[in-house]
Amino acid sequence: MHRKTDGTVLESIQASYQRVTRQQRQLRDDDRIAEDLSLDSLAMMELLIEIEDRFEVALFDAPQAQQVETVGDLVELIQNVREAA
Amino acid sequence: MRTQFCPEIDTDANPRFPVYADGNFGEVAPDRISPLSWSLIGDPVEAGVRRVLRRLLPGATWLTGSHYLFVGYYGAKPYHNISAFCHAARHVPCLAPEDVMRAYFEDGPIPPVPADPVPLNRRLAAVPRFIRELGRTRAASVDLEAETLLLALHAKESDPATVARRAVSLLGEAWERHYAVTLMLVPVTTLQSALGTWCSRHWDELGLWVNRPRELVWDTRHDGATVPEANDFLARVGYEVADDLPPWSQYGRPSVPVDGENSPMTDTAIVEALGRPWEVLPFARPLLLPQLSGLVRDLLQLREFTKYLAMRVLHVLRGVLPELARDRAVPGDGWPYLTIGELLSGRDPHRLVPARRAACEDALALDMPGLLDFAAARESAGASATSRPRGVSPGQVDGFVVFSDSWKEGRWRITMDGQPPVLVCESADVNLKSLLPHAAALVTARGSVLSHIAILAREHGIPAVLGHPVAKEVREGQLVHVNGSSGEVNIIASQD
Repeated sequence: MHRKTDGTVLESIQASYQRVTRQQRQLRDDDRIAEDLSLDSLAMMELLIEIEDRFEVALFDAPQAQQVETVGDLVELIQNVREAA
Repeated sequence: MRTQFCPEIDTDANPRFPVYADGNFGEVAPDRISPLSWSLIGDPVEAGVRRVLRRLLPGATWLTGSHYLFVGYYGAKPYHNISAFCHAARHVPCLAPEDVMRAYFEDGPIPPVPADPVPLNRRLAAVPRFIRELGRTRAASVDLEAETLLLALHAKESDPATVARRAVSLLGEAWERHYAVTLMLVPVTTLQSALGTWCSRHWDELGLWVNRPRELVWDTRHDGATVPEANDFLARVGYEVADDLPPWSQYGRPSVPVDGENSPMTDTAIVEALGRPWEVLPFARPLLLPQLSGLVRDLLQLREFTKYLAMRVLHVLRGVLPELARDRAVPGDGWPYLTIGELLSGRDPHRLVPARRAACEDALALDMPGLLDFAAARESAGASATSRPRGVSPGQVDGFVVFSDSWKEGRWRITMDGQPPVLVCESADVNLKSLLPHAAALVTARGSVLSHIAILAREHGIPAVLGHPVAKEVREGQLVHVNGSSGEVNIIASQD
């Protein structure tokens, strides 16, 4: 089933990703974060911190964070955390 | 016991944290360094560690004061203040002073630390700050590399004082990043070890395989380099910027270039299994042990990267300081006796040289111990009289003993009676990096689990044992068995 995620959130994640990695790359919902984005653990941490600051959310503490595997999952997580706040 | 050995050049002993050790200096820096080199290490390291810890432990009143807290310089020898580092460990959850001593200070005796307990809520509050520091350090280091390369590129065509001032600023940042990673590695590896041990009783060995860092910066930045400046840097990787001037040149640890065939001894079957350790640890995944281990590997790599940045900046200073000294009318070999601040201030620094030179001559005549305890009036030769050998890079091999000096003097041999060489030395650092691809194993008399040579040995996949007394007993040519997992080194046969 095609997932429809918030384009604005995806664009912001993409901007953060490009700032952290200094690479121009289009992110897709089905990109796997661990396998496809070429991020080591420290870059991943840096990306999540930047996203937390940008969206003013706490991701490290969110229980659903453990299930995040794709970019689409991350977008959904951010949307859910923002709505719950 | 004296609280200073050479008052003209020594730092004052810290009254609250009185125990110092040369661990993680003694096997890295030259045994003695000039006052100028000390000013490029001691002051920026002190400032950098304080900045990092103030971010991690805001409100910590013990991080203030005019006495050096984390480093010291006695008899022209650099020391770490192990009481202060152990005290810092008490503020971090899941961390104890013995973890710090094991990781960086050769498992020496734990110095006395203030008895007042640190509340649990304050320790737990440090966790999110640690996470943020981790996320911040990588990006800052990448930016710093760009600045460092620009500095190196333009150094020769710029005014020496301008280059030196910029270099000092970058050096401060580089040391801050390096110690930030160094400080964070200990709680992360301690947590990893606790989880790993819970998963498997073989974690002590498995962890060594899992914590093998990816390709390190020394190779990725300089492998096959043809730029003369880059090659010159690799030949003079060290903390002493006056390493071509006596008396400091005799304490240097020059890099050893070597030609010859590689002697790869890595067990390829085990290396291939490195990618699948989690298959044999069924409880590892829910504990996030694979992710934590990836973080350890990345931190080890970042630690080498930040040290590389500091070394690059020191190398730029190595090139401009003689010219700066001439501009300041400091006599030819007098500039190592000044601090960088004095050299840059331009206020007749040369008048300080005679007294400093005399003080350094007195200092270099002293036999400075590895451990200084100014409170107990106690000193001892090594960081620990009971330090035990540690296997820091897994694997087993039989080979013949070769000392690093033999390699330097061209007396080494690729094999003897079909056996490969085992490199044996007092201590080791990046200066011996070029020998590692040719060695079957490494044995040193000094070193810790997270020391640089341990990281390099794991990256090259050669068995390594640090802190083994046999390193001082063996003779060249003897056949030894090295077990980098258990830490055992046994003499099998002597050369006839």
